[in-house]
Amino acid sequence: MNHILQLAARNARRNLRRTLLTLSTVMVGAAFTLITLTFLRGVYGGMTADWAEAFGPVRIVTSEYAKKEVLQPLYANMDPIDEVLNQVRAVPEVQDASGVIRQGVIVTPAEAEELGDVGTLLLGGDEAFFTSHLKPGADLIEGGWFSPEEAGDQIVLGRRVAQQLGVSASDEVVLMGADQDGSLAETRARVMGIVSGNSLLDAQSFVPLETARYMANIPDGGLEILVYPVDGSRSGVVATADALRKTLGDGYVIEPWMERSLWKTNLPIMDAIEWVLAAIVVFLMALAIFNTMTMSVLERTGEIGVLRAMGQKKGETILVFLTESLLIGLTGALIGVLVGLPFAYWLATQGVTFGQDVVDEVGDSLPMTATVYGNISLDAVLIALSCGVATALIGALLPALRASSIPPYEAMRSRR
Amino acid sequence: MWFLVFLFQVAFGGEVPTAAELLAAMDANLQSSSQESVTKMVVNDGRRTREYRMSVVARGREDAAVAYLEPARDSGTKMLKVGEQMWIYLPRSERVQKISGHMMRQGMMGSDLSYEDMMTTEDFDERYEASVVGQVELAGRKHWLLDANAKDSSVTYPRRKMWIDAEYLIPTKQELYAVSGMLLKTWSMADIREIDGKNVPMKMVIVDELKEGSSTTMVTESLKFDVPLEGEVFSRRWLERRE
Repeated sequence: MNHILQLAARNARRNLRRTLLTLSTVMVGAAFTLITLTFLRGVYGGMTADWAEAFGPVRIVTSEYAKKEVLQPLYANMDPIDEVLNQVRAVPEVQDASGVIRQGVIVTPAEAEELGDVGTLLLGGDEAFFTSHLKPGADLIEGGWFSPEEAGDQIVLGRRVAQQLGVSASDEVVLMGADQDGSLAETRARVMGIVSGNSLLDAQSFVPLETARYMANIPDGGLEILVYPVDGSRSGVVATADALRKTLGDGYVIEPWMERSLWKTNLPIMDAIEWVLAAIVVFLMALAIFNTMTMSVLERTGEIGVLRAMGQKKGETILVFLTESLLIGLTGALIGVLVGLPFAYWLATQGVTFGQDVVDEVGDSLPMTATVYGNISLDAVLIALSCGVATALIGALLPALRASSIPPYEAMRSRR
Repeated sequence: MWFLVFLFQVAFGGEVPTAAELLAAMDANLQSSSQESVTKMVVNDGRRTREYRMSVVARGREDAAVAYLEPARDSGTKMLKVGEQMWIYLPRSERVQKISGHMMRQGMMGSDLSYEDMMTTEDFDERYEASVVGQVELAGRKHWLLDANAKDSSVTYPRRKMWIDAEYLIPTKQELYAVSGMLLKTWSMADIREIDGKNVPMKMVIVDELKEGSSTTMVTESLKFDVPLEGEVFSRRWLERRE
């Protein structure tokens, strides 16, 4: 094995210019893979994390609600909700759980003559939900959160809602919607604060659970239970959902965030983008390696013949070329990762700023933020390194097979 | 006096009356300068049943003021109809809201009765071309069957069929159709009692045929005709006044 390694290393040094050129190609490919994956994972990871935090890593609704969710059937609620919540909280995989109510309402400045046309998704939750899951991802740009000292209904508006209404903290707004029976529901609330975080958050409005219960006329209930697992990884979320299904039985739809309609479609696309990107990089780098190795085989045909005549086996010939290629590939990938890491770090710490206009353009379909940060992960580093190795093996395989298949007498003849 | 004679003829005479005569007779039976009532509205949406109690004051056919008394959640909510305009007072937000646009077609308090249903009762003659189909029997009583088609297809119910009780001169049943011919709503009236010389249906059932299992029953608990009215009732001031 040692002599194969020596031969491979010697061969790599023989045409140093070509080896360096190939190494550079692999290096650029690996660096590109690392930087792009860091950026993509930052974008996707940020979006999915923000979304799961606001909409629950695992969500429990009644089967009836799940069937007609697009119509927001407030009547398909859980009232009372406490018994179900206690059952959920008793599951060991569950860290905490909150009952929430989401409903569409029309919001109008209190002093306006006519009812406006600004619609918002009103989210009512308990204090624990806001403290642990919503406030960390929301920047207060004006005022504060709910205050126990304030009498009457209180509301915190998303940045875009406040902008559309032209209201500031301490102004009053009127909320108008329909309760679970389709009857008119209304209230007047003081704007306690204005928050900004992502495009989803900016388009929503937040009220204490009691206000949402009044608006929906669900006195002791909720519409959804958002469950936050102890293990927040994808597998942890799935395991928690499975445990909850066993506990609650029929009558409920328990979905991990990846199975919710938005991500059911988008996650495979996101995964596919990563794979396509990696495949393109591998293909381009493999072409470079293939070229180098083919040239190497052509240049060394006579030498291969001599070695074969001296007893070198076919497999050993293949191994020499594969090892040479692996040396170049792995070295290139390692340098590529080292070169790519500072850029990836910059992406992770400084981010790329798209601006508020882009956030508003995205609307409330995805949780887009004005500045997108990268996410450096060991996973991305390993993928970048693997690309180098895969490239080396794929690119060198054909030339190596070709070298091993040359009969010694032909190789000797070509030497003359 | 001539009207009473006519009523008598329509009710008991052998001749087939015209649609206009029937409608005029119906109006004459129910018309009063003012009326005051307490009505219970029972809304059953096929899932659960809710009860509302409201006091209603009406002036002629044009104006009406409704104040919700029960349940506590809706107590204080008021509705005012003056001519063709309608407003609602929302006590929690202390706001008067004009009902217009898409709100008109929404069920009043989630019932089968839309705000529009309340608005478009008085201009029947102007909007519909009606004809008497003939005399039919309904629930063992003689009725005139009236078929009315809208002059303008933009009205909510382009076709109406009315079964008018030949004796009481009350439309005990109405079917309201869409332009496609689909049945949208069925109204029926029952428990007819004589109050102040008028035959009055004390119970009305409205079924929105598009909502499965849904029905709204209006039961008049008390009713007085020609009562003296407070001048302020049909004003925005009354609407905004906290009781």
